[in-house]
Amino acid sequence: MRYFILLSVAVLCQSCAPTIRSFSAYPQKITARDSVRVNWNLRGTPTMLVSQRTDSTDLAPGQAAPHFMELTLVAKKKQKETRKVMQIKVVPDVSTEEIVFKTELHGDTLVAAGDKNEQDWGPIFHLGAITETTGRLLLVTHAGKTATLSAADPTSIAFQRLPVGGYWAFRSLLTAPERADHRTAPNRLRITATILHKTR
Amino acid sequence: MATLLDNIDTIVLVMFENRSFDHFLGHLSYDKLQTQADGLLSPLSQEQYENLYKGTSYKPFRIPKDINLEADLPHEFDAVDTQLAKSDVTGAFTMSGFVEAYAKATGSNPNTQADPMGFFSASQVPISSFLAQHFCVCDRWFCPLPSSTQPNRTMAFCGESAIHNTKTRPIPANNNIFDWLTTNQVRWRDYHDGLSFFALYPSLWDHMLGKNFRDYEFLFSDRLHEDSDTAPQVILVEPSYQDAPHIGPDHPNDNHAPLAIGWGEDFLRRTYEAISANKARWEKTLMVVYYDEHGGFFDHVPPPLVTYSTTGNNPHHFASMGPRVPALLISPLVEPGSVCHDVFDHTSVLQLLAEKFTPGQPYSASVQARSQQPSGPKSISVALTNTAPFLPPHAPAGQIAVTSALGDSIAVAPTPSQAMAQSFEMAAQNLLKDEKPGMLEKYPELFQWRDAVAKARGAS
Repeated sequence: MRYFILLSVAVLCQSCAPTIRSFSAYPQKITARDSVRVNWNLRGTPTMLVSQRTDSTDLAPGQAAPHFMELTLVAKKKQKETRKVMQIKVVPDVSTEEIVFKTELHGDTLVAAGDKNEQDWGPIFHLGAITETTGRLLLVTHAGKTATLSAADPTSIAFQRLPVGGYWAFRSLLTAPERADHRTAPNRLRITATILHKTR
Repeated sequence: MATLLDNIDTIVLVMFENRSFDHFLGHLSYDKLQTQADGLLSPLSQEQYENLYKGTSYKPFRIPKDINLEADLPHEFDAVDTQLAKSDVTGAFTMSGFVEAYAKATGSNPNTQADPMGFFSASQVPISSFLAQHFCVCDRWFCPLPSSTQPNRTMAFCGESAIHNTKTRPIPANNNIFDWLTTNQVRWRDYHDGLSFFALYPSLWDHMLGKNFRDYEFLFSDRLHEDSDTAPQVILVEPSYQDAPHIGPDHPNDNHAPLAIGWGEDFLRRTYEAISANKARWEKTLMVVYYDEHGGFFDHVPPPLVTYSTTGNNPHHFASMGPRVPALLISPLVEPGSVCHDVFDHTSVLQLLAEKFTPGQPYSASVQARSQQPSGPKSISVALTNTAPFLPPHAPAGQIAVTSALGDSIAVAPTPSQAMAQSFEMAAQNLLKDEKPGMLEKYPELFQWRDAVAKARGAS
């Protein structure tokens, strides 16, 4: 597996304690053949530790362990160290992720909405299908398009090739029991999105 | 009526800093070491653990290595409000905002394995895990207030608080534990490993510079050899605080993030060994190990709706307790390997002291009113149920090492958090300025620290 890490801008200043003023990596999800651009600005002597990690905690049978490239930037000066860690998640060309927001109540409608972090998936992935897995009737809005998911039709390809990041809104009417007792309503709504590398 | 509390001669209080229950002891249930404890369970992807930030779901993860974190985590009252994440729809705390509060505080995109969601394995907290498995772990011990260090510690040792947040300032200490113990003729002592936290309370300086405050290094020999008629009935043990001034080889061990926890585990082992050194004394001892607050780390259990209004001129109203913290009851009078599910907070200790030393009289009206709320905290005496006392088991003896990211042994503490460090520094400077009798004997390192700071600042 090859990673091309573009390292830029290391600023050294010989005074006081080591400080990492900034450290960024983009994008934060890649496939095995993608590059990550890494920038930093620090005071002290820099060392970059690059390690590959798999998180085998809590795997279901047959589930692949999430795979990370972990970048640890260490600034050292006069026996003092400071560090920052950036995890780059390495995913296959086709993967899935839940998109989930907390709910608010607008009249008799649950609304879960917000910005999906654009930094997360960056420019090299786009959406495939989206799915609602609980059977709840859900109106989904994203990037100017709308789709309805239901128990009978839980999957939609309305958002194919759109970016993952940006504003999403899920709307769902309260059920009769939920109207009677709001405590039984869900405090978050979610969909599962299939995410594809743009070369697919 | 006689109770097992009558068999207790000595109550030892050891308070660490800033860790949550799931973060520190969640492994007990996850790794099936103590299945009755309400910690973490597989799958970690279940909704009760899920934290949300910008449409992404974050779940707990096993911390790979004990190492200093990059920075302290947010735990001031406004951050705790975000962390508890009360649902607009259900009205319940969802405990889903720890990553969001962290992202707000750091201004950066959290890693998939975001620091607030990490939990330790038994091998990383070998002493705490060992004590939890051999004595009584409390899995419903909450910090009294959904806020930070100063108000929670003040609640712990006064049963009330005039402040609701942590700032650089002297703190009032009305109804403090030292005055209460002294008034009620209870012999007490505070063993401090470095500058005492009570330096932040000017009204307690006379106590702090008096004979009841002793250096931690005397704890072992005092417990082993001191006569029963002078030995303290209540012992406070204070670690070396990260935010306090340090000089020479002194190393913080209070477990306050971003500090690695290896030094704190070693301190806990030494304290347990000291407390259990004298077997006759051990048989009549209860040692309470607890944390002042959660420190910004995730916990999945919503806190009870116990209300509190601060006693200052402009009272702040809290609607609940704060998140759960790790808490252990170590005594031959608790069931070995047990879990206590009763609701406790730090004032449960003050209830216990009143039960023991002033039976029929509450510690204070404030502590009593708190305990009488519907979900109010009980006295920890409810956990003293073992009528077949046992000898103290030996704690794991292996070396607890902490290394830096580059693999070096760490000699220098990470940068402390600002408000608390400034509070400690202000207290230290004021103590030195007044040069009260006993200062040089009690805190010689402070004079060295003052000279070192003056030299360093003069040179810059």
